[in-house]
Amino acid sequence: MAERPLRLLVVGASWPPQTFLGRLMRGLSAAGVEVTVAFSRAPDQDWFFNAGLRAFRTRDWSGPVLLRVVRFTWLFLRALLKSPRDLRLFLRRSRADRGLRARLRTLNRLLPFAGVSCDVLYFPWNSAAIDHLPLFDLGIPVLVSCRGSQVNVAPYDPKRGVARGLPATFEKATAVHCISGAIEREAQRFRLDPTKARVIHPGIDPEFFVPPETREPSPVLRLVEVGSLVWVKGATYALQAVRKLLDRGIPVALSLVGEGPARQRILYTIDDLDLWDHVTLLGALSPVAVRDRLQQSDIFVLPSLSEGFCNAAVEAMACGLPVVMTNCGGVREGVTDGVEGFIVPVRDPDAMAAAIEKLAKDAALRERMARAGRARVLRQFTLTSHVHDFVTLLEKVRDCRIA
Amino acid sequence: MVPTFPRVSETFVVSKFLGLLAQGWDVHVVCDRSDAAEWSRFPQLSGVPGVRDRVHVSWPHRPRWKAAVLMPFALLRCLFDAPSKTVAFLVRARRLGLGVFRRLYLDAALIRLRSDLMHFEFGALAVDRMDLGEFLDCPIVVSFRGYDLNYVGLEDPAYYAPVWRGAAALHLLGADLWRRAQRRGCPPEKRHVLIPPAIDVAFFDPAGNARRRDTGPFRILSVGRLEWKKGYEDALVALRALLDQGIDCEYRILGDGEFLGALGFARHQLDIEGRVSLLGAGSRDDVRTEMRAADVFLHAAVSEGFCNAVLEAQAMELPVVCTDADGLPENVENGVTGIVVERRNPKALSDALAELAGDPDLRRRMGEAGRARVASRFRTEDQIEAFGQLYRTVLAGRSGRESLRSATSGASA
Repeated sequence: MAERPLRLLVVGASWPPQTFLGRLMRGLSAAGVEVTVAFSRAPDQDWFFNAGLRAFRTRDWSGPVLLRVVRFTWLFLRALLKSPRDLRLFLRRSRADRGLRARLRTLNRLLPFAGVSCDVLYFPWNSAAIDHLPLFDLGIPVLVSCRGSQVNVAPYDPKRGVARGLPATFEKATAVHCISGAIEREAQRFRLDPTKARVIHPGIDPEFFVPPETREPSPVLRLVEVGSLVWVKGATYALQAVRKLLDRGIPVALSLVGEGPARQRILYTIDDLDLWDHVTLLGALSPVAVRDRLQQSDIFVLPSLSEGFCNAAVEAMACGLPVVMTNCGGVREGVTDGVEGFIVPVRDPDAMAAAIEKLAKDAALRERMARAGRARVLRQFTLTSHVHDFVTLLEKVRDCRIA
Repeated sequence: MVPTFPRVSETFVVSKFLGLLAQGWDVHVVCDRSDAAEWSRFPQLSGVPGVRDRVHVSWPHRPRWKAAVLMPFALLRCLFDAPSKTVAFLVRARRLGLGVFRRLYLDAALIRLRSDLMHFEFGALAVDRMDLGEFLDCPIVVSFRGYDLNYVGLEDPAYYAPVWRGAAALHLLGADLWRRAQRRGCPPEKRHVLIPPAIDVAFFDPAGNARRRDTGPFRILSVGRLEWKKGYEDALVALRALLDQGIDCEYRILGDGEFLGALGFARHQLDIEGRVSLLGAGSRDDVRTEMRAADVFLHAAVSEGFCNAVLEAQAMELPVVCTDADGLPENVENGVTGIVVERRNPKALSDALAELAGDPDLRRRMGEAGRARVASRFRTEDQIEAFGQLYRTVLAGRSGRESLRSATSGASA
């Protein structure tokens, strides 16, 4: 590291941050980066401050009108005192918004950043980068992360402006971090210059995600899926696969870890396929509980329609589970078909059931794949190497030594 | 009682309202929302004198401070319009404590109407408000139309217990829903009627059909809100399979909804962007126009109460390919007016579509059979008559109970 610590400002994280993002922030802080995170809600958990992280306060455009007006006026005056130049920039750029209300909302989002000082601005989400586009013109180097659905799913929603918003952020960013080569290729459709792109695969802590000392034997094969209950994770295809396996006389049980808007659809499908005795919805779990669940399972399944990489699968592999995944996004950069598990086509419950059946009937194969998975994580996907690569990238961004 | 009135995706409520009015019933609609944009899509409503006075929008529930400020006005209005009903409501509902004023506020429109019978058009709407029957001393009829039995409260086995207990009668769209109601705890002896939906066969008239063509792609149409339960993803996979078989086809979807993003993605992932048009929401006229130009109607539902659009398609002499979800096999006669296949099975959908694509004669035969079936079995007139019959029965049963009660009270006195 340089003598003076690199000062990083993270914009667009929500409190509490996603597990992987929290992990990254802590790792960066431990590696000597001075990390400040912008939140509209004050952090209220000790780990955040214990890790030496700092919070930067922004404001949501919500609450009673009077409160909004007072807060906005205060933000405006503060911006005027701190940096009239930035304020002028924000005012000029907010003119692009249609209607006073939209403009106030944009300004409310931008004003806290007037006069901000740091070495690198980091947007962990493309949507955050799009929402804060004027910050790209503050003269501070900017790093944007492409993590998955915002590059390979959201742009195809005809009602969202993501496809229109992405190119400008890629053009203005100093560098763009992609969590997989597949995501980089997807981003190139939206005019990402390949010379700006850096692929750094996510990493996990293999000391935390460890195989159990003994995996308790079970008469039924225990499948586990970890992922939010959203359509893009395709949980209903796993349910169909479970039905097919049961119909063939293979005893399996599936646990779903995660919560989300597709819950109703999943419940209906469980009911319709008569799977109440074979499927458990566990809701969202803490990292410790997720690990415990992985340790008490036999196979990790993920029938996603789209993925950036396959974080959850890497965690499962570290816990010594063979994985059955769909062929999408960067999955094949983390799992090789036939080595750490099986890769099946998307939207194909028959293929998924066939892959699980193969594993169900061959304990030695499960064992071999589990060992290969753990070894691969240790080789390629540790948090230590992830943080190391990320710090190197941040230093290059600060010094504008990318292209 | 409906959440929103009028509403394009719930056109059947409008038809029923108009039909009952025409039969001389004194019908009112109580709803939480009523949007001007939706009114403009229902020219048939503007022809009714005083129609706006029959549609009552509940007072705003949120923000809470607004509800609190408006509450005294609601009370005054109720006392002014229906003094004895209001006092009776307050007395009967006194076990709610101070909550009685909240309830009065929420149900002010119902108190003022002093109706003889209340009909909740959706089970999910009724479940929290079944005590109104007691508070307002008024029998309640509850309809179950699909989603209410299929998804709402699935995790709670006693979710609909208040409805099974409190409703004077149930209305269900078909036998499948009645089976589901019993699976969810409804006693088999509960008074119920099966009245299938009905459509305006005069409006959905195949006379203007433009599909007598021999050229151009095979045109597949779906009409319905963009929701996961409509199974559009399976339909798109089936379309991909048709194209892979070398069948020149295109797919148009009329409807809007929160599943648009998922469909936009599936269309991109399956590389059929040029073949699939997501048209957005449309009026009844748009539906008819699209049906006139289509070769087949596709409904790939995973779950569907009955589906009026499928009825409309049959009325328009469109052959239908649909799944066996819930009430659809009662709607389409398999092999006669269309082809019914297993749900969640894109391969079965594409096989059925391919069969129809290759056989214009079969399409014509099925279309004509569909028109005949709908015109004889799903007529609005019959449906209105069936509802009238149901209401008369409930009201007659009630007056019987009333005389019984006066008799017992006389005896105890």
